[in-house]
Amino acid sequence: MLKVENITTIFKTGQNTVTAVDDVSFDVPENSTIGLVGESGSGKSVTALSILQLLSSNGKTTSGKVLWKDEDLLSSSEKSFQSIRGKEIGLIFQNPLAALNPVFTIGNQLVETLQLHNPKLSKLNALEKAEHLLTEVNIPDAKKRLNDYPHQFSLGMCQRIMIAITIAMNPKLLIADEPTASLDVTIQAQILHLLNELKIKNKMSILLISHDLGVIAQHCDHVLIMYLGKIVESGTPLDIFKSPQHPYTQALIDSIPNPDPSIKKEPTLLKGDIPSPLNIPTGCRFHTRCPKAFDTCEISEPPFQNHLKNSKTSKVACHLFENKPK
Amino acid sequence: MKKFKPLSLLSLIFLAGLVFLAIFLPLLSNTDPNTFNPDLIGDALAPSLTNWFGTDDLGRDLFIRTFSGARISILVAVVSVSISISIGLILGLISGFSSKAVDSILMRFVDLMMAIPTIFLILTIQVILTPSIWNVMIVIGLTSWMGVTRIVRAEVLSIREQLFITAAKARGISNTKLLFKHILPHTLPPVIVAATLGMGSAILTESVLSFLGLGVQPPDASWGNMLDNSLGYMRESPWMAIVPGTFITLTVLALNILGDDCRAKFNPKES
Repeated sequence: MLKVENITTIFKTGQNTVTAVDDVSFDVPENSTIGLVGESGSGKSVTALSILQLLSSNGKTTSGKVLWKDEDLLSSSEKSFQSIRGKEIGLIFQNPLAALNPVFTIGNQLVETLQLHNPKLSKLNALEKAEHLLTEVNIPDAKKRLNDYPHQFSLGMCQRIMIAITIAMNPKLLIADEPTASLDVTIQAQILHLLNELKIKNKMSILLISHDLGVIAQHCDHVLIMYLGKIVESGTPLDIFKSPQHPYTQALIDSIPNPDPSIKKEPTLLKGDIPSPLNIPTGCRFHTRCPKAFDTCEISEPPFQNHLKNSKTSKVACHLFENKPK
Repeated sequence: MKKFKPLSLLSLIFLAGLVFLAIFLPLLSNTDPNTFNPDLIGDALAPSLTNWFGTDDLGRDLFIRTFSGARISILVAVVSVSISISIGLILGLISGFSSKAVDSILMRFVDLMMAIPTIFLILTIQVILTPSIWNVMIVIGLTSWMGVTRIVRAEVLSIREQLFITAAKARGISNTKLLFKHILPHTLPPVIVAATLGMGSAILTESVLSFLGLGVQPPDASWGNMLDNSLGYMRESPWMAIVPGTFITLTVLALNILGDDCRAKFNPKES
């Protein structure tokens, strides 16, 4: 349904050009949940914003294609883009409170969205529908709360309202940019449960962006691991979590805390920080922090290929697996 | 809604009283503010029970003249500020939301306008055209919008980068709607403050012009020409200067206090 093909997004900062997303490709089929995982600064959010072309004014997607139902969004006009945003592809954010306009009541914002893509809808019907949407995302006392301002809700409720606004038009794809990162675990579970319910009910796909591997493992059909603007490994959750291949993926999985106190395990710590996207390391961009790096890693960039014998879905970009039979 | 602070409540009462008296006093009173009794010329009377604010050198009652002058001041304040806020708001919104080129052109135009000394421009226009209070209002309006433009532009620049604007865009809202519905309300609190401050300074500018004899023409009263008139009698009859001077000061002060409180009130985050 959504096909992202080799997109590269750059930001101009003063004299410098930062490549935040470098040659990224992936598919989001119908009725599926795709997980996009990576550290802060790995380009996950920029990928999401690039799909909808909501980059800040100094950002630009310089190459590649974003195919939505076989139409390239990047070359479509602003006007036709507006009819896709919100109506066909929805977007929710990490900080729901900041994503709601503080000077309007949530009823107002819901009605606005409903009428935007359906101008014939009367205000009264829109309000009725808004109330229904709020009930659907489990906001108690929905009718009364339509008149409240965003700051009068808790963060978890704000995220549910944000979801209500986003699913108002029944989008076929929901891009969830770290939807639960600012919420505590019980609320996180509620939100993810709600998203899953809506996914089944509205027959939509979800592109779930997260740095929480637990969340990803539980909810996704396919996982993409991103590092410094590139996808370094992709596969089903089973591929990724049972047999992680890329040293970066291994380190990520290794650093998940285990709630069992009887297991004392020291995570393998990666050296240093994620390098600045201003000067990306040569060759494999992970070699500066990779525990298994060797000479070739510094010189040439590894191809993104399938190396796993028993899996057709897995792909990895690492020199360790080169010259090995498929 | 939060209640007004006592001081701004006082300001509100003062301004409301001023507007009320300015509208109704000259209508209801049988004393004409401009006609004078030839017998009383040269003999200003001190405030008394019959003349609450005293009389001027021509024996005209200052109480009536003050509120007749208040009409002019209020009119000048409202009309000129409406003009300057409208221009400032629209240009500020365009400047903040447009491309860099449009923004630069508009901002350089603002710089150019700011370089023109307002008071001399008004004086020139008043000398060329026949002095009229309407000219004063329009010229004050046309020369005082630059500050508002800069304020609004700065607000737009910061608001347009906020997440809720990206979120609104992600819902498919068009740029025009984004600008006027989602960004405009956020620029209003500082604009309200600028408007009240602008009213204060418009009243002052009108007073200055009338003081210089280029604003409201005698025998019509304005706070500025009442002050001008008092110049020669400062020692013998100080009330002639104190009355209009006090009203100018109090009105400008009340507008500023009220403006500041409005800014806090209109912000839903603080309610």
